[in-house]
Amino acid sequence: MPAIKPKRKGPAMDMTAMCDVAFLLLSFFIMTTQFKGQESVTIETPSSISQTKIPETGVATISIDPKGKYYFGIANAKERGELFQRMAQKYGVSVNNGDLKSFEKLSDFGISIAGLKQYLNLAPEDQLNVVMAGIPNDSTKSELGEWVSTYLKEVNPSAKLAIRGDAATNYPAVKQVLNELGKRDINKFQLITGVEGAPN
Amino acid sequence: MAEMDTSGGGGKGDGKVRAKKQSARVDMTPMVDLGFLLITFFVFTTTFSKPNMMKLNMPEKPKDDEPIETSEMKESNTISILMGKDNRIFYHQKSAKTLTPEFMMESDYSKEGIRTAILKGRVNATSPEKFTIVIKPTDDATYKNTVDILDEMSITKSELYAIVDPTPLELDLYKQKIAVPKK
Repeated sequence: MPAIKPKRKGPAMDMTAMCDVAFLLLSFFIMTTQFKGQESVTIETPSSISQTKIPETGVATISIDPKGKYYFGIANAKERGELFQRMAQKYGVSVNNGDLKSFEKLSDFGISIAGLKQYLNLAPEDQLNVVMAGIPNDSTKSELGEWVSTYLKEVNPSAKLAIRGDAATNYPAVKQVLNELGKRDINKFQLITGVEGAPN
Repeated sequence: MAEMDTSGGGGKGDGKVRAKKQSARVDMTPMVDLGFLLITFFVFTTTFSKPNMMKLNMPEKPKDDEPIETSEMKESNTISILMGKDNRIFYHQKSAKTLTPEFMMESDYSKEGIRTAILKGRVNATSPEKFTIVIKPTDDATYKNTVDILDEMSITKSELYAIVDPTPLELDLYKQKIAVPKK
């Protein structure tokens, strides 16, 4: 009688189930991920105890950097083109389809409308190197106010306006925005802040 | 599950082709590795904490031809907060006429600082439900100061507050006070 010889076998685990789980999770994350667009300026927002989350679409954001430069961006890429066309018309700037396509890719920008066309014609890698001067927002000629009111009154009336200021931004820069928009009857703002625990 | 039937052909010897049953296990390990690598990537690129937002409603700008509505406020029923340079903060509970330097107190952004002052002011107010907080950021204040004060408004559950510019007298006093370093 031959002795039963145990078959030598390396410990092989069945990876199939693990693989299934891995790819299930993977597909979940791929579908839920929303890539952040390249932002033209880094802003460290102050934190607050507010619990309201910012909506994903229908938001226009004014960013104010520590030097008091203004940047403007809208979340919904489809509305960008329409807004740009209207603004170009108001300021007498001619736009072609290439400009529009290029503008729709901008998550935010900080250039006056006169300089915008030149910026849009740059190659994407050159655009990164441009130091933006900020959108003009003087009391006599507020392009920023015009962008915001065109967006909120003509393109998407249900949109919200958010202000994203850096913690180190001086208050006069914020006041200037509030004043200019107040003149255009825009009085409701959302201040974007980081998360902070509620106090005891 | 992860087996595939492969019919390996080729017999030996007598020219008979015999199908050799053989089960080939596919090694899943690299695939799992890849899967988890990608998961890790997507987990890290997903924005974890979406930023919060806080509401700020400014009063409508009065039109030139409209009379400006004013309402009298008892001075003990209000507290004015001036935010200044280097995160310094001052408050007073006086009206524009009776304000003198000794009534302008310095405080800070901590829990014991301005929050206590607001709460104390409300307790001592003649009509606490109408207790109004007047926020006056000077030009030296930062955006963070403004957000911090608005945060205090929601912490102290103050509904009546307004952001206005400081009066010239307040600015004068503020300049005097800010020239002295904080104790």
